[in-house]
Amino acid sequence: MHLRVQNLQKRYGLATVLNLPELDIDSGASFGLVGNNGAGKTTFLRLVLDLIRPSKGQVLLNGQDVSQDDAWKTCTGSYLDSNFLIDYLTPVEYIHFVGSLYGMSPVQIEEKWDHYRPFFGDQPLDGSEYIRNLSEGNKKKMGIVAALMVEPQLLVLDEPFANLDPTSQIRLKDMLKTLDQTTDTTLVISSHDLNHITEVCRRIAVIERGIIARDISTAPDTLRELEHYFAVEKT
Amino acid sequence: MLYRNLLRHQWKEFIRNPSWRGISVAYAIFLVLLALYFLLTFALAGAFIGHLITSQDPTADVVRLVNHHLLNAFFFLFLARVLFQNTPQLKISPYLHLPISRPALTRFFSFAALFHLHNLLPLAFFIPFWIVNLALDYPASTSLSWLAGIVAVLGLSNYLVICINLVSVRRALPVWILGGGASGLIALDYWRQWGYTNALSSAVFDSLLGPGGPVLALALLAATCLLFGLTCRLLKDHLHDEAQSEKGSTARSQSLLDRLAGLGPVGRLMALEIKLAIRNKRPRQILWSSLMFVPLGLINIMLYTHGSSDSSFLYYLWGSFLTTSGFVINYGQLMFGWESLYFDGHLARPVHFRHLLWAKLLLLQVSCPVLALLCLPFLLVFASELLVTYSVLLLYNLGFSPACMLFFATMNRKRLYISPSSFFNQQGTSLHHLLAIIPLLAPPAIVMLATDYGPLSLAVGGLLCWALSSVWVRLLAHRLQKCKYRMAAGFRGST
Repeated sequence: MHLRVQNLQKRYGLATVLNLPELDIDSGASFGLVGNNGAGKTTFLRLVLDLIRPSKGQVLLNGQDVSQDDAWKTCTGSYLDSNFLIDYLTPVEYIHFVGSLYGMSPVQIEEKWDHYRPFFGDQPLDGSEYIRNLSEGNKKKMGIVAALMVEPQLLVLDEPFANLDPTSQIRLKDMLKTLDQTTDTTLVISSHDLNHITEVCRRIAVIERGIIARDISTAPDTLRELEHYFAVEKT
Repeated sequence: MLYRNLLRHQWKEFIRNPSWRGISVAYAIFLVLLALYFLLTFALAGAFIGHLITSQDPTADVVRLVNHHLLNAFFFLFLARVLFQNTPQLKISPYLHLPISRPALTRFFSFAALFHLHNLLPLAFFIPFWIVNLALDYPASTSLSWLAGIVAVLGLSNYLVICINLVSVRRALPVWILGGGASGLIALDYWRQWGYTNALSSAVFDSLLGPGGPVLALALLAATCLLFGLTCRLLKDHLHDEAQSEKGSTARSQSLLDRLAGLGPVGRLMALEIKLAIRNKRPRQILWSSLMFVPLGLINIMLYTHGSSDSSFLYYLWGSFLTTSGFVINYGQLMFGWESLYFDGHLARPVHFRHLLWAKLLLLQVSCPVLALLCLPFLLVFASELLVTYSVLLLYNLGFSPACMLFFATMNRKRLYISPSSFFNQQGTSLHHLLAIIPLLAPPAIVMLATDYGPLSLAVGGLLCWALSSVWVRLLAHRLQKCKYRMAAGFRGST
């Protein structure tokens, strides 16, 4: 799915928290967004998902303005934070609920659940425990699995590696890389983890105070470049 | 020093409670005025109930008459407490990792539980009653014995409820069987007019006025102290249960809901809403309170059958609302807010507003006849002449109230935490929730009282509203589409 941003601005009062005159993310691209806290990453992702109204400009998915049409939702998988989880459902109920919204049959949902089950390691999740009882890491995994299982054409994830144990981080990284290499899914991922994001995404944008400060194709020295960038920022 | 710090923390917890954060200034002022009104009403009732009784029957012994009914009153209070009073574990848990002795903590929080509104409101009645009717007319030792007895019974009831709630987390079935059995016996006593409860009430509370009064009062106070000790001990043993009771609760087989979810997108969202209502403490208590509105509504209807004037017709109207729309008013007004913790998820996924609204509307509409069915036996036996008008009001409530309440629900902008208790929890509520009752009550009051064809017009209006459900859904979906950003921002807690 092709994502295009035109003259996008988000203001709260007098403060402009995001200002992107133009941004194009091609279909099948893997786009990483890095930046310090408050830089505007989550605001951008919320605008992409039509969760907040832009002060100016528009986000186009395959040429359609996301705020004008809901059709894009059926081919988009996303997980930004726990506001996406229905915590009084059991993991299986939640997966079935989300899958059914995307028109998946119970059999397809079960197949997908079995496929992603190893992501949770040895945790017994098939029981009757509610999502609210899960650890923070497992909650995050639930959100990510719900986003991945619908075979989205656009996958939007905010800080997917945070709160995950090392094994799960590596598993997630592999899953995202496989998705990127074997499908035409467009990945839009924000992260503070420079290591992981440079491994998963072929294009990285540094966002700073609401504007894109750098937009680079990932190369062997990208990690060092980013580390240097943020080290300088720090000083 | 420790207790002083804990006391200070309790005060800060009260004034910084998130329940207050989510309400507007206008609503806060209204709540303060409402609280003062309640306090004043209780105090005035306590002070003047004697005059009221003697104006009807100058020979009546006010104190003994009140004593005769006290046990029933305490029993109803007790039932309300079982449903709504929290146990103090959650308040203790932040201190558990600190070098503070657990017995000291349990003692403090068990004692602090005495200062609950369930105890303070009755005292607002009993103290003025005691001053006017006992302090002046009885010897000091007698009147003080009576007051001490009342305080002791309140304390006993307070600690008994905490003990029951603590034990019921692990042994729910025996507690419910015992509680149900006791309630059944008292209801049977009331229904068959055996009068055992009243006789027992007189025996206990009149004895407080007799020569053995001080001894009985001391015995009751000693029993309260014993129960306090038992509460501390139970609390210490169940310190981790409260978190578990909500957190550790698990889904049971719900084949009916699964079947509902299989009926398509609307059924799926209805099943989700029902799960929301039954698996979270605050909406679950709202469900219970909707059921508790039914007897209250029936009392109002009974008042009408004794009066039959224009003003008493308002009792009937209010009664019919409570008995048919209790769920619509209580639960419906906070709809969308209930989903505030995952509203973003709905927006980012293919959840169609029309489906969402149909699910909510159908749920509210179904609740009206279900609640009315509960009242049907009562109406058939005691007020069969009201069946026609009651059905008319049911039609009106079925057609108009759910759609109207859903419209008001689209104004909800505040994040709701659905795990804490609903008792005196005003978080997420606004003045518009109270104002919403006016458009529900005004049309039937005007139509029934001011026109000759009141019942007919109301029935036709209700049916018409019901038939137009799909139009309301379309209009509300349009409205939701327009205000979804503001709702989502409010639910997220951002601007």
